[in-house]
Amino acid sequence: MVVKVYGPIKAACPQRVLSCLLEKDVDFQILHIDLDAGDHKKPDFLLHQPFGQVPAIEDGDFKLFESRAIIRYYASKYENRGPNLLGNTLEERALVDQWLEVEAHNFNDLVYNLVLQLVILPRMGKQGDSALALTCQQKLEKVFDIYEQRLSASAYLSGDSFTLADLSHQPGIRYLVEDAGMGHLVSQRKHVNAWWDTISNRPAWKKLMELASC
Amino acid sequence: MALKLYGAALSPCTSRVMTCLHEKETDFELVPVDLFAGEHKQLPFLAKNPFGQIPALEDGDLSLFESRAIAAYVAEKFKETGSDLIRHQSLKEAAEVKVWMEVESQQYHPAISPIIFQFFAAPLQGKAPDQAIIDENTEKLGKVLDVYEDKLGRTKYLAGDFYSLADLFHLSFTYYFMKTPCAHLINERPHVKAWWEDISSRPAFQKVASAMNFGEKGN
Repeated sequence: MVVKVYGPIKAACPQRVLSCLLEKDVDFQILHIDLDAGDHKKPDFLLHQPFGQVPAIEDGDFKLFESRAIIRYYASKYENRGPNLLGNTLEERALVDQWLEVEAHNFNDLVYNLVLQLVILPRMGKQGDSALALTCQQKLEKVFDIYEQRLSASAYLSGDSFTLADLSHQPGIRYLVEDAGMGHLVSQRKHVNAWWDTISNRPAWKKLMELASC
Repeated sequence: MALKLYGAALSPCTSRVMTCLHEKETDFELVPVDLFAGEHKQLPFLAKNPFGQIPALEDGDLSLFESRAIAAYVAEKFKETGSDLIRHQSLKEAAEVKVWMEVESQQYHPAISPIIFQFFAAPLQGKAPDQAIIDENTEKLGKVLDVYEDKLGRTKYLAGDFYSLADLFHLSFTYYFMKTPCAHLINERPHVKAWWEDISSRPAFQKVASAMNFGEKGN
């Protein structure tokens, strides 16, 4: 059964889900949602996601939203297929969770606001707030310093294997490096740079980038 | 060996974890971190959480931070005791719990947290609550609560007809919220109000709530 993923393939949160589905070799079908046209706020879509945000999924009768909940579900459902994205022991899983929380609470807002001001608003013909962008950038520098320290002790965020914690960062870092001109945040930090190089060269992520460029 | 939780009894994030520990009927030691002295921003605490935030947990060799990850770990480790918070026997129910845990994290928390900050933390910095920030976030929170009102009209709790970690995650920040002039946002939505009264009266939360006295005279 094919998993239906509602959302534009170029948006960060759908990409988080798609990266996971590709890692787990799960067949999916993308149902494009036109954010510029406000499709995500229309009654039809609100039935899938009452907060009017992408992505949402349908797997047969089962529906879910919130990208980080979706990836946890699929990593669990297909635990024995493909790479182990969750960790083996209870302790390993807790560390994966910890760094997923770090991404959600210490990283995501800063990246979101930075990209909104520097990329999204200008694309819509509006003025971005450069003071806010600068504040976000300065805070991100400190966050990346902590990541640098962490990644000097282990190859990936939660330990020695690629997990959901690393995967969750892929879309945001791509935006920073490729669209927002913030590549130096990564390239100026030896271990962060090596980590990004590794995780962005995973076949599943590269496949997603290929699909997204059509 | 008992778990050690580093934090402060009046802190909502520390309380989030303590509520979970009580639901699981698990012993722990609360090791106080002196926020007013900036203890959380210095070593040795920074070795437990490099982001300089409470709480942090030590369980033998395992060291964790981020309250939601800690609570999820506790709920998983002690899944066979106390209340069933994670519905581990059903993959689909467990997934629904995770959806609403994420909703708390991504929708509810970003709207409610600035309101709590303005009423409780800003005065400590010698500032009056910023009404523009409060207004902006009460509007956001109102829209989120409209979705909750609809959901809670269909199921008794957020993830289904069972209490779960998703409901628990809302307790500590909402508790402080109910002490502000914005409490009407909860009270004027009948299903949300009933849900709040139910989950906040659970004994495990009552134990923690009694110490959540931030901003009261003498504290």
